Amino acid sequence: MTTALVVGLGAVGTRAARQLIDTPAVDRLLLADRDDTQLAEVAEALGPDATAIDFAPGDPIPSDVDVIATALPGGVDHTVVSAAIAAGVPVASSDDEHDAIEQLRALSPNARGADVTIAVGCGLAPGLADVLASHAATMFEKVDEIRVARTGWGGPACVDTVRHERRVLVHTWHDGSWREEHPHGDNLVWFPEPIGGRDCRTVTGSTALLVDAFGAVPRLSLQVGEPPKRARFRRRFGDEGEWGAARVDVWGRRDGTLDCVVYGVVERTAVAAGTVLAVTAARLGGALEPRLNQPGVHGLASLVTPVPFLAELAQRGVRAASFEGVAVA
Amino acid sequence: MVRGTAVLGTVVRRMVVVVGCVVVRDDAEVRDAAFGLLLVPLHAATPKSEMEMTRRPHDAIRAGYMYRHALLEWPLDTLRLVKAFRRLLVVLGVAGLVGAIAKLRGKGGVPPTSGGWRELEGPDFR
Repeated sequence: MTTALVVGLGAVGTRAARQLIDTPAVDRLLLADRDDTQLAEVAEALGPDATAIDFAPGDPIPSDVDVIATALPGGVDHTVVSAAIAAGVPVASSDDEHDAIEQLRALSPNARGADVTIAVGCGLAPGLADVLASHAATMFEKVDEIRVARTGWGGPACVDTVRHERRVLVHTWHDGSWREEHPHGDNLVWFPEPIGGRDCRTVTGSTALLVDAFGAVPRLSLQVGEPPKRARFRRRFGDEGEWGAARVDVWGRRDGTLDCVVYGVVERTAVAAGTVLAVTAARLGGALEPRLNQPGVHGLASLVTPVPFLAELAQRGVRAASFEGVAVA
Repeated sequence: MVRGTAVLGTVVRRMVVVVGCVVVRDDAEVRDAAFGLLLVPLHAATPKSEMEMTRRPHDAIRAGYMYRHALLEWPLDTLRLVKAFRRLLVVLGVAGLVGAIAKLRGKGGVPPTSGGWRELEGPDFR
């Protein structure tokens, strides 16, 4: 049986905790959050198997923990991951901010030395979108380009990350090397209904995780949409969470022709991210098969086998879709 | 107002000559016929000085009269214009032909733009 620790009980962490407690092989769930009221409410709602503990980033990892899932604001989980590597405990992190991801990736030699697997970018995009890209890439003999787009956000911290990413310089992967560019406007990206068309802008974000997984692909890019400014107020008045969507376009060659596979997913962003975080953590902790054991710091595209992962998510209600259509001149 | 009308008239006359030569037939007969139309309202013009003889037709019109010699340069200009226009047509035609062949014989490369989303299910996960 498995004991999991969830650190951070915001929009994503709460959903991840719910998914973990619903996993049969997880018999004990430890919860930690800086907001004691929120911590007590979530622990009570999840039942007797969930226990609130006094844990903060920087503290040593409790001794009986098999796996950790972190859903913290950007950069905060670095200390948690460092402590987990020292304790030899695998971690799944939902961090999606570029600098935070780079900090975590810098811990890869430590993780390999300690024989610990760290999964980063466990959310909608990065996360599920990366797995969809990996699934689509298996259909081609040679992949020319992967475009990932996302709209939607899990909580206030995610909104801040999106706004920051859209403002700063962009690093894109072009012809096998990094290129620095100023943010250059929005493109209209079509997501599955009911989201439809949204303006998205190219950002750096988690592009490095795509490069880790698809380094031979000449062009890799990530786009995110702009959240409306009234999001915080709407959530404060009890909205169940914002709908989000991800779209993955993979261009490549098969049977001698240039072709394109388009995958998409629509779900409440926090639910999708929480489910991906929980399934990854459950796999790292051995609560779900096959167990993930690949020492180092990895994105999901490098870490998981797409088909069983997507099947598990589909069972939990997070379903991807494929765009099937014809080219119209 | 008078100046603007005169310039516009010049432009229109040039267009008549070019279109007449290209669309109908580019031979001397057609050119003379089209050019004759231009001379009709101008035949009464009289040169006043050597300097004015070098002016272009629209300058002469602006000065209040038209010098016939200036108009006689038009056929040469028009011929060059027609040749350039024909070359342009040939280039555009060849480019269109090459584009059409490339599009018809090309392999893929056009993203799907009409269709719908299908949920991934069991067979997709095998």
